[in-house]
Amino acid sequence: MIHKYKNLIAGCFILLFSLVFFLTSFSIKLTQIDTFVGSRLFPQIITVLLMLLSVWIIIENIVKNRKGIIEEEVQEDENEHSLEKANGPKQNYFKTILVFVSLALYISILDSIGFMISTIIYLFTQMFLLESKGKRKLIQYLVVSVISTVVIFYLFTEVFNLVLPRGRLF
Amino acid sequence: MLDSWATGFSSIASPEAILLILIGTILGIFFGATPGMTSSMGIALILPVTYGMSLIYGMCLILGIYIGSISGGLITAILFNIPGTPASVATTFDGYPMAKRGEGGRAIRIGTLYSFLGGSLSLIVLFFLAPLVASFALSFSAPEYFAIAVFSLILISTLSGKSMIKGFISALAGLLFTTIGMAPVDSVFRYTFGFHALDGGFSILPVLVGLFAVVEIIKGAENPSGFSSKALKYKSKGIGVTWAEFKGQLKNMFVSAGVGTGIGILPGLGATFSNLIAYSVSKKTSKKPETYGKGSIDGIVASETANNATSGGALVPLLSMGIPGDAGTAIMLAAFMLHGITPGPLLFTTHGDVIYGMFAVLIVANILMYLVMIFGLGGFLKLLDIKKNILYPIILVLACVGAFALNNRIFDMWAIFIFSIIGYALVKFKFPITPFVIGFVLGPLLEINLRRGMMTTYGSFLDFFTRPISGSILIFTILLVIFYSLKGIRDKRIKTTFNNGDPKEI
Repeated sequence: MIHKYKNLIAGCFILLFSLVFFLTSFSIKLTQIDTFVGSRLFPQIITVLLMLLSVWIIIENIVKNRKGIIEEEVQEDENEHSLEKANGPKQNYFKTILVFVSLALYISILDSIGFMISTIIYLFTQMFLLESKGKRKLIQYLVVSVISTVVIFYLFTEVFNLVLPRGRLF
Repeated sequence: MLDSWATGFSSIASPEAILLILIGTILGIFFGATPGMTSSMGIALILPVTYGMSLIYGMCLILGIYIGSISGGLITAILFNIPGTPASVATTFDGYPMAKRGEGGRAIRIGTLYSFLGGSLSLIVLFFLAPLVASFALSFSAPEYFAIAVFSLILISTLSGKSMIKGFISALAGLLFTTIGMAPVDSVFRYTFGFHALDGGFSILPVLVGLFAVVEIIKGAENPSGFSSKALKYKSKGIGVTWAEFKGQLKNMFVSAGVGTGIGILPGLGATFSNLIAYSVSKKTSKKPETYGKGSIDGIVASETANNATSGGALVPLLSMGIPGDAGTAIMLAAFMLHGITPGPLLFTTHGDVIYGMFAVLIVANILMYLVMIFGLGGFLKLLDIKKNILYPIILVLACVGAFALNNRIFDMWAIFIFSIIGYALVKFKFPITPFVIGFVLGPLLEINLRRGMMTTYGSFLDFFTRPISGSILIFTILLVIFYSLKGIRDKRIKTTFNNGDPKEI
């Protein structure tokens, strides 16, 4: 069902987004008054073009839905991608959200807990998340996480002399 | 002439020199293959190590990294659909489908071979045509760069087969994100909303990592069986192409090498552009464009020949005028000056031995790069044996660390996160990612050169058209747009009549 309106949703979102950027572009300072090519020009051209194109997509989607063309396209698409179809959409989107959340959490705790521990936790979590229930090998993940974190840490700090986030612990 | 070459080769005819080139090449391949680390980062890291060495030994290391890193990117691009460096983005288009079919080894062999060939061709230009070509490059000023940027943007946006509109939207979105930060010329803050972390804008690395690496992980997460772990046969032998195939690719190879070298010669444009532009040109001038993107070797040939050719090309302005062609060569400039040598027109006469020594290093590095990649092929393919749910998070951590190492701030990792969400949205709503990348890369170029150009022409945009080079490029671009729009309309009409008036989208 959502398939039909994908472009419509995308179009509306982009329209909104570019509208916001267009309106905020007027708060960009102008350093010269009489020139056409100031710092506002580029963002404004881009956002205007984006708005026009997104309106096009929205209208195109509405017209196609009226004419019933979308059903055929969706059927074509599904035939093409029948091998890649997901089993249970709800379950998979939940996993996706978890992947994003774990990445965000990782970045947030890096500074406070430090590179070593955060990375070990993150690697373990991510490896765990990406494997389906039956096949998880927790000990293997733990060992690999620890070893790779240590290797990366020493590679970057000792060999390349770069700085990694240090927290109160490691 | 010949004795200069002899001097050049003799300066590296020692085991230490060859060993240094080898180490540099291996390091370069490693940096190139790891998403999140680039060649310029590698060169910057090795620079302090070269302080104590003679210039020529330092060059062994640096040039080894330089050449290795441009080629290393193809490994992860082909095997994991994650370009190791921006220079291998186009290699993912055909390399990854080939890998999925079990031809990953062959794809890597082809990529390596054409990296070698592309590099060699550009080195020939460097050796024999440098001064000539350099003076041509001097006639390129802001309007010309603007014209090239517009041309590339349009060309690559029309690459995406299904919907040109979506391609344009993607490209515009990429452009829009480059406006966040300080504006060029007058440095006013745009769209920073008070966040000082945004003042510098986003850099290409987090964008690439978020768009490609994280999206790959998400794809694996959404697949119900985790990552599909089919054991695919990867055995391959020899060069990777048959003689017949090689002959078929000759035109592709020369054109892509030309594109790559040309872009390298223009200071400021690098391998990031050349691989995409060469791919587009190759696809548009090919007799079977529909095979591109599904695992045709043409795509890999175009992309890898061009990106290595750019490295040779970028050395032309460096050595003949002292103007670096890209980030890596900029750091090389620093290396030169550290040793008391100022590259420029006089370099050939005052320090001819250095130049020819460098040429010798380049030739050896190119050869070693090929050998290392081919011998290491077995090892690279073993990487595939590692379960993806283990490998991908490690790659991502490496990439995050690389992004962090750029500016030593966690914000760059947040940038990865932001762009991973954008990348996910783009994929879910079926927008092509490539135009976004190219829009992002071209954005600054477009704007700076538009404004600079307008300043040089005293506010007259018309002058962009009257200058010979920029005018011809711009007019060609406009013709291209018209041609492709008309073609699109005509194709729709044909399809309509064949379907008995049943209007169907292509």
